[in-house]
Amino acid sequence: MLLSIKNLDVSYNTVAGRYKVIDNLNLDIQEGEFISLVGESASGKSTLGQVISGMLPSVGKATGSVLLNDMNILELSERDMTQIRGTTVFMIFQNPLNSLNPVKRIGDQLLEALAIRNGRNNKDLSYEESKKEVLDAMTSLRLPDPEKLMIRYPHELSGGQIQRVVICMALLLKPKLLIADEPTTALDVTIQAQVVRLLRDLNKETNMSIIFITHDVGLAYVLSDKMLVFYAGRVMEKGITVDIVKKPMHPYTSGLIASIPASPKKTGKLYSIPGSPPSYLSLPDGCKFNPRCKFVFDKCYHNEPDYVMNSGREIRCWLYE
Amino acid sequence: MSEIIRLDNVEKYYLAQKRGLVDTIIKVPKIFVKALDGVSISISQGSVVAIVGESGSGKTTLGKIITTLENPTRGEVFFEGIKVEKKNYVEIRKKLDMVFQNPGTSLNPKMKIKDIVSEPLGHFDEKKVSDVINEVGLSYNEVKNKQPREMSGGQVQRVAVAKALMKQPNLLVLDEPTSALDESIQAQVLNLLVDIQEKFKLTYLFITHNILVAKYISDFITVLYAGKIVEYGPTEDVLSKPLHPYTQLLLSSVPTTDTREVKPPIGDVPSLINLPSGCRFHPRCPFVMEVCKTKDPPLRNNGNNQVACWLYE
Repeated sequence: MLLSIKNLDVSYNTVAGRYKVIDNLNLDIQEGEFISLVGESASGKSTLGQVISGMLPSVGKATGSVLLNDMNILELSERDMTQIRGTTVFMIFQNPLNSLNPVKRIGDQLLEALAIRNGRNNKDLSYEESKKEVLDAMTSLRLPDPEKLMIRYPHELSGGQIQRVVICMALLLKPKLLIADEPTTALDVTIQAQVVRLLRDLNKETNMSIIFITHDVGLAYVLSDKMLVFYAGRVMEKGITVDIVKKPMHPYTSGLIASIPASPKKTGKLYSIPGSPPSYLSLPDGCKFNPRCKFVFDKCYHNEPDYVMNSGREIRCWLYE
Repeated sequence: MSEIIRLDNVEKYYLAQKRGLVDTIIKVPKIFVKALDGVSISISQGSVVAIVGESGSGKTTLGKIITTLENPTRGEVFFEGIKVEKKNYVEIRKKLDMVFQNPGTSLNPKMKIKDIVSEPLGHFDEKKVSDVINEVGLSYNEVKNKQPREMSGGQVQRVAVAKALMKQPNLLVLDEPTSALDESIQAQVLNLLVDIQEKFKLTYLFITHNILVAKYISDFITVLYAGKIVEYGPTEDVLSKPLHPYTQLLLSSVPTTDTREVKPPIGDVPSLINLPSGCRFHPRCPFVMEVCKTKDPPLRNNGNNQVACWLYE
């Protein structure tokens, strides 16, 4: 077991009060698994990424246990966390320009990443060997003209190229777990498809576990083995991606999938979930989805459902009790 | 169906660098960004035309030229048969309006909703404002005294649509109106836009990078690549039988819940300053031939579609 999360609660302290952004989350990830976290904005999916990579803002408080390689991330000091960031858990962000140093050359940043990995593994590589490894990694990601690219600065590259440089860094650091937080949202659809293929190859060839955070159900379907559907900080449905997409069981999941435009307007109105996602400061009683649910009944207004196992997946809905 | 807007060989070049007096005197050659190059398109009354393409393909520039926010460098634009010139901007702008991608930044954050919506009228008419706000699915009494920041993204986008409807335009240019919204809200706004279009017999120019959205809303689709139209035709024909290799690869790059495979084209979008010779797509095209490298293919009819590709000569 690479990652094991048990009873994770995350809450934020703000001037307006204390509110819970993740409620009772459980997740196990094996080595080599590809998991996607799907949900709308502010559903808590990025917060989970921040917790796993130890980057929760200081106003946030996490309780429960997050075991990564049998180390509880929630109890690690910042200094210990720095030791595992990069080589054990690596995070890719939506805007890749922000994750590279703008005043250092691409090559130097990649060499630095390699030096860190070797430093932690007590290996010593000469400059020539390091450079060769960096160039090999860049070539395998189909970055054009790697030699020339190494002496350029991040702002001289296109968005797709920078995202590939960041993935190249992951390739050099060889982390056990890669967290990709909407890595393709800022990219064009053709470049997105290229990045998606790279991530899938990386997962297959190096057996790296990947957590892919996205709002696009189609993208999650293309990429992942398992899928978690988030709504208002709760995992509403968790299971095998193909099963969930082809046969969604939770009313929120089925609504989300039905609202993807797939056919022309003359075939009928597009299904849409009424209302809008709730604010964390005024969450409804009972099931958090009850004001927008079309199957709502009495119980939903009073009690919040717990996880129920049904056809091989976990669902938080009273319909499947 | 009468024609509402026609573009004749429109080109839009931007200067890539600032030019000072010294540059002009010592005759430094001008460097242009070719945002649009030879675009001809005709939109008939009451139809929804989607413009799809990647970033930098010129879709927003095309929208700006149609809404008279930009002048074309070369070529002519006709609005309801009248040539668009500086002197008739005021008249033409009364008949068209635009909805932008991010309503949070295109609406005045300090104004109340009722004032934002009534602004195009020039005076406040409560009856008209409440009618149009109710039309977009909001309750006038609830929202009239709110400011944009007090509302959710989907609601603010509805306000932006209400504001655009205020002048009762014939043509509405929608520039990525749903891409800042969540999926479940996007579906609501798309339904609203379809209802309004059918009710008022509006013409939409719908600019989007999301092909699934274009498939849902549009009657005709225009695929732009690096400032040129590569394919145009009825949405159904273009999406079910794409002719141009770029359209084919663009469609197979879109992740859907039908297939788990994506087939993107290789390489990147070309720089608009140093465009490839011949067909702009040839460095990325899987079917590239000798002629593609030297000669730019014209847009020609092929069945119901128009396509600019040497494969169909």
